[in-house]
Amino acid sequence: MNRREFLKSAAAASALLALNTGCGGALRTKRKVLALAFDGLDPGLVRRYSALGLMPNAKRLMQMGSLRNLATSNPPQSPVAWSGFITGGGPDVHGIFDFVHRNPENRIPYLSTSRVNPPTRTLDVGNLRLPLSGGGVELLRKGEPFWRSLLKNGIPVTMIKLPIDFPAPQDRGGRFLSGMGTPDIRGSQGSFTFFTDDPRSLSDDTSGGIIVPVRDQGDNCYRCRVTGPQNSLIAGSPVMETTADVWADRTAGAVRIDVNGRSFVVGVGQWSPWVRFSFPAIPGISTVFAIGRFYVKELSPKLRLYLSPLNIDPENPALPISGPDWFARSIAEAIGPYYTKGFPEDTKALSRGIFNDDDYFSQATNVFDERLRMFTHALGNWKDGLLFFYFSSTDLNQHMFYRTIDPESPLHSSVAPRFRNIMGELYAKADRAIGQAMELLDGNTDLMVFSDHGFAPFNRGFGLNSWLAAEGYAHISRPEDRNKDMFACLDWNRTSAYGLGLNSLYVNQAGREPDGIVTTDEKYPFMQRLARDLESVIDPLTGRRPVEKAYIVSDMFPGKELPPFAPDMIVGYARSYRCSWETALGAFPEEIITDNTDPWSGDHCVAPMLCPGSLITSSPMPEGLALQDMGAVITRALTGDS
Amino acid sequence: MTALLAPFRNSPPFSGLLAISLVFGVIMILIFKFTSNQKAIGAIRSRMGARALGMLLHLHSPVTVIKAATALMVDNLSYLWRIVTPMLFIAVPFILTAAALDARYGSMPVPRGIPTTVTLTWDELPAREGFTVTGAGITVIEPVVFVDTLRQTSFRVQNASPGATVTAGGVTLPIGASAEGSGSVIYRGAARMNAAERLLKPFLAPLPPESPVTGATASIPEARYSILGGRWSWLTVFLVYSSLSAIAGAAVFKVKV
Repeated sequence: MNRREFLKSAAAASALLALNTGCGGALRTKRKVLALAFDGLDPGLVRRYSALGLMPNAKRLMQMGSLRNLATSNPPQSPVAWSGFITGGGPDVHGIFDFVHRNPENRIPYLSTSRVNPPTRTLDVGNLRLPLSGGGVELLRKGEPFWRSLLKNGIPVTMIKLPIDFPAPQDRGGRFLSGMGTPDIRGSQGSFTFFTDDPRSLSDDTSGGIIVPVRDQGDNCYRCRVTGPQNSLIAGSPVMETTADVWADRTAGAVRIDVNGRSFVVGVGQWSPWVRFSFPAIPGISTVFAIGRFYVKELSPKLRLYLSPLNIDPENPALPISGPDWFARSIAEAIGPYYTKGFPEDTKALSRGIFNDDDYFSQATNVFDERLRMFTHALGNWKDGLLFFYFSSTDLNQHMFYRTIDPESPLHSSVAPRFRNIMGELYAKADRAIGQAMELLDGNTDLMVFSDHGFAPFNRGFGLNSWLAAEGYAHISRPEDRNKDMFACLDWNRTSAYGLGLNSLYVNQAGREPDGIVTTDEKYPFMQRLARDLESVIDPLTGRRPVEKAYIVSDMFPGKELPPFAPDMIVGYARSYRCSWETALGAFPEEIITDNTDPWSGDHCVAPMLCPGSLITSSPMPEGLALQDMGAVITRALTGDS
Repeated sequence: MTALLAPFRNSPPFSGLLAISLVFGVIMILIFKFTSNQKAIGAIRSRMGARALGMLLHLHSPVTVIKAATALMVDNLSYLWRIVTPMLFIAVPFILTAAALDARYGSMPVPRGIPTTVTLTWDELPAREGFTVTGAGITVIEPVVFVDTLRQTSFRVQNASPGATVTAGGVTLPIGASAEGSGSVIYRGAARMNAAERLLKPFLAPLPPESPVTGATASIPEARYSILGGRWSWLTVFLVYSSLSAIAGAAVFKVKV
């Protein structure tokens, strides 16, 4: 069966299922599908490591069925790609174009996947502000998830750690645990706290976390203030805090941490178990619970104590991380507390130098091992229907360790010998999970292992905004502020385009943006010229083109009316390139193309054809499938007998 | 209590807690029956019913309603006075049973694979040199942290078997479950206690007065029980099921409450 016929039959299965829903009947199926998602699993590396014998299970699985490249989304960012998987459509359907969108009315960026809405009515009693109506967390992804028709037809669905699924759906009959996009307890995508009495470590940089100065009280006790969420029940929404008393015993090389009446001994270079923090919003009535893990990086001569981002406590979730509510709790009862936030590996701590490779690796190992325990639990409880299970470790660890396999990386030579084979070990660990899943294969069960995109090296950062300024597309009126953000340094009356987010480029359009200067009539020819200019840029150091292809978004979705927050162009970078760190934040540094010296050395924000995902299945699949076809493919597999 | 729970030794902890709660509810309602003036309580209840009915029948007459309401309040006070004596009789077994249940169902056993910190408070902090901690039926994880200011030593344990003990600086303490199976005491620490304190705090192992250790605590996780989608403490489970059992017992044994 070729791709076209296959997709037609998959679409027909979905349509029949929808039709059946309308008739109110329930399909009876004995078919089961285990969908195993490894974020960023690269087909090229799967082939390489399978050939080297590091992925024997994947090799066996592809011999049973097939290994295919799985076309990814444009841009190949996880939120965009997984939204396509969920809805079966592109950004025009699900409305997710990038990690961040911007409000055209003020150009302020915001997280594209979910937002917290304040209550519309409150009852104010003294200092108390009690919500009466409205408010809550809103999922910004649009479109109909593919599992709804399965559920309506009586086919059980369990989706564990599904990305772009926060707040978790409450669809009747389904079980959902939200994954990527789930914030920490403070509402950010992950903010660590680093307590130290070493003045050399202090910094005003708040990206990824905060450094908190502490001092010995004179008795080897450090009183550490742990910051929780804002208290929305009190006027002014003050930040809630609790205290951790850290007793240092430098002779023993360990500390005792006292939190909420419980004690934890942790040695240097060790992790505490999960520690539960409570933040009383209204004492005795409402308490927010969170969990975190301490890591004693150093004790002598100075204390260097890391506290992970505070995760939503799965046993007492303050936000809707699962549907039904008890589902997150039931997992915690079985395997213990677990990372609930969407990006569990603390890549920012490594990028900021709080962690070294060893520290990061130990934390990432904790995450992967914990997820494997959750996977074993999920397999043990899976009876029928669809089980989707997601691993983030393959993505985030490739981001941080791609430099170990890429000789062109500016950091390759500084990789310690013990990390030289880390990527192979990562794929081998993923392979063990595949082997575990294969044990469940029988005549009625399909196993589909897939990823949202592949991977590419990220050695050179392209300063999109700096290039726009150099080419006259943007005008910097306050050069002293060019390293801050575009709001501070640009003259918008002389700026026709700007970059924000990882792949997005926006036209400063008259009537849409304040001080917009490009008229609707001028816009398309302007974008054509801009695309040509971008694609012809040459990196003077390497002689290569940083931009593989610049996509005009209106050409990608002809005839569709796109939302005002949608970008006008998507910049598809060449392998080894990505937008610079400064561009993602809207800054305009002087240098246009620079070496990427951040440990974040692999990426996938390139042109989509350069980093397809992987699809390994127990039944042969045709070539040419895309991630957004997978919902229909799963539906077809589940209803194949019907 | 241990003998009462013996049949549930191999069952999940919830089953033993449920059984005790149901038995306790019936016993309490019988104590109430035999220690209260049932005739007087019956009369007060009838009177209170009549007052309420009178209020409903004379809603058009505010004076009558106020009179009836005042009388109802007086009857209520009279009712409360009548139940003081049986409640005092019930309070003693309730406190003792609650303490015994808390010791058995209030905590989880020391979890496997997750270190639990044990802290000992000393009269005088022992010297670091030569201070050792060993475990029988439990794994002790070095190092030992000395907190001079609080005269405390802390260390980690994990993988406790029933009946496990830890010996630190020559002092031996039980940690975790006292025996195999549901319904055995789970020791959360130790303390020097008199006889009354031992009855009220059976979750603490008794320390002799001459012990150099004044107290010990183990950060053992609190136990929660899943019922109807919620997770509840042992006390909530006990109160709910013993109340339900008492209500049923009142109907069966014709107890006027």
